[in-house]
Amino acid sequence: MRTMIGVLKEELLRLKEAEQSYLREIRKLPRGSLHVKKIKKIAYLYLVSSKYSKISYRYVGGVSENESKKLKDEIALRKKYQQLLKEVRSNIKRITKIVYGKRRTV
Amino acid sequence: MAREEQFELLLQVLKKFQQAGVLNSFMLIGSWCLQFYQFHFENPRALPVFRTMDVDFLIPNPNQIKDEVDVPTLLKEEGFVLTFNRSSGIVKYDHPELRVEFLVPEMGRGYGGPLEIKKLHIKAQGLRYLNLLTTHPQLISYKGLQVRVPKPAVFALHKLIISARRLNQSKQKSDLETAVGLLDFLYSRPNEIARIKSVLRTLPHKWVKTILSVSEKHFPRLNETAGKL
Repeated sequence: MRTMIGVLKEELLRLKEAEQSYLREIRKLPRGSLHVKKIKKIAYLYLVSSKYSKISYRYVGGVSENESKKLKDEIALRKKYQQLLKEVRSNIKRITKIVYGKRRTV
Repeated sequence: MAREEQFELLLQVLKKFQQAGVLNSFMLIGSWCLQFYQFHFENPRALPVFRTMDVDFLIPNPNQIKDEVDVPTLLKEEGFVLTFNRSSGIVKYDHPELRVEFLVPEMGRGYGGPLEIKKLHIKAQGLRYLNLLTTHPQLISYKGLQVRVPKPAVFALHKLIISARRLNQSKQKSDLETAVGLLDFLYSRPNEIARIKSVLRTLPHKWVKTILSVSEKHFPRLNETAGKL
């Protein structure tokens, strides 16, 4: 059992490092989500983001432009990382409970 | 995530490496070897089942890699992120369920830090005694993958050696548990006993001494075998 606890403590450290790594990668990627606006039957891409409860729309370009594609990929990657960060945090919670009991906060 | 799902993720990583033509440059070591030993020995229940989250890839000959492969990008596609340790310079790749690390055998004076393998765009950590594993490889086929692992007998002996060098007690215990569990299983197979003998014959005297000093307490049958050499 002591071996198991030792391994779990090590895993907890690893997960905390992973949490920081995911946060660092998420910070590098653009915030917000993409919104397509149709103006005179032509589709234009906008990046919608909010700061201090204020919503801002930033014009990106035509839907098929290279920059739009790059932005789409980056946002998809950010969402993937955010999902994985959630998993990391839930694992941290689960292992902290096993190792230290219910009272310890993460 | 259950162990099955973790294993699925590992298989995805191995598949990516195989498709990129880099899997044959790696040897899978660490606790995940045991999973492949289970397939090799057709799922015996006697094999130890203990797995950590670390997946260690040993690169036996870093200078002989010819083709350029961007390994970090392959891992990134599977959701891994780079974790960099500033004090040691060691680079690891993290996922919520697994951590991938690259290792190289350290010889002589050592590398004085992680070894950069430019062809693969990675940095590998040098560790002692890994050349013992590289000299006894075994290829295991599983679901179309050709996975290189060390021979089980060698893996168990290596665990005994490194357990003597561990400062972390829980790691030392887990090494011993794995080694003893695996040796216990291997001793039920005459050809594996013969392999243990042949490996012990080829090892430096100091290494054998270290192995036997550990096994004396935890697996005395190995000392009996060594006595008959």
